[in-house]
Amino acid sequence: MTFVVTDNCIKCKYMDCVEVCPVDCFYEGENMLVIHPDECIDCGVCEPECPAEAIFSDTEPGLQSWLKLNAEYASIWPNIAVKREPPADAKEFDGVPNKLEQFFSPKPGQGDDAMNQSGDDRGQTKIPPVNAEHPRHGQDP
Amino acid sequence: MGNHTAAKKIIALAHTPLEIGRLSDAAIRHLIDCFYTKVRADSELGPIFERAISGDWGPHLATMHDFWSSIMLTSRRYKGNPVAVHLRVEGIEPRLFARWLALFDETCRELFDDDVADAFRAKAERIAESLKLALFYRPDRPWQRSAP
Repeated sequence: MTFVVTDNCIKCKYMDCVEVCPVDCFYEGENMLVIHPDECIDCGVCEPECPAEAIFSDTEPGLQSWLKLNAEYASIWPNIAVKREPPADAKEFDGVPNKLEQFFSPKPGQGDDAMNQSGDDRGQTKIPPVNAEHPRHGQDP
Repeated sequence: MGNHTAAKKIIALAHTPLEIGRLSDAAIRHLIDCFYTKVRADSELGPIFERAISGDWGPHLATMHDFWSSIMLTSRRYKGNPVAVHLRVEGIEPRLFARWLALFDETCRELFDDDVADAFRAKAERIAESLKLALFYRPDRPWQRSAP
């Protein structure tokens, strides 16, 4: 089981969640964050930290497509564990409905490398892909 | 003698910032100490932990204090990779998670009010299920979810 980032993160990307995550399982796109479902330990610490209220447990109904999106982009976007300034217009987009269709960018974000070009120590403790055929990708075997 | 020991305990408690039964960083530290004392004495869990930690328990207790402080108080003190750590534990088995959870819940209930103990149990069960999935799930076998 895992937590997933959903629609209201898009173009808000406040990043409060990345600092509290004990296992650094957030990955950064150009205008959204996602959670790696195989790395999340389901502790739920991030959920109340999100100012956009965009993080939910995947045990809630109707989140299959978001789980799939989180899994897909977590494997290609860079890891982020250090918060930066959110977008200047984040507040204007907070609460705008259906942002996925209008605004979602599949491009990667900067990740922590933007903060530290020589490489962050945390990168060395990053979780390896433990089980590539894990069920939490949302596809039953 | 018994009374003397009890009196010493009361004096000791009066000098700690512990509000009995409620959640605080000091209370989590106490929980970790009490819980791992039980773990070490447990016939099933004891040998697994003693082999994995081999020697000085100080760093492990400090790490667990940071972990539960991060989980319950959002203190940001723990950053790590518990899946990778558990993958290295010799003799780890799915059934041992149930034993761990039972001992942890028992300790929480001895130290905390019911609402706090419930919150610990809910978090511990979810995390245990995630660790078990990461460690033991195989796509060719059915997965029986054990957490409620």
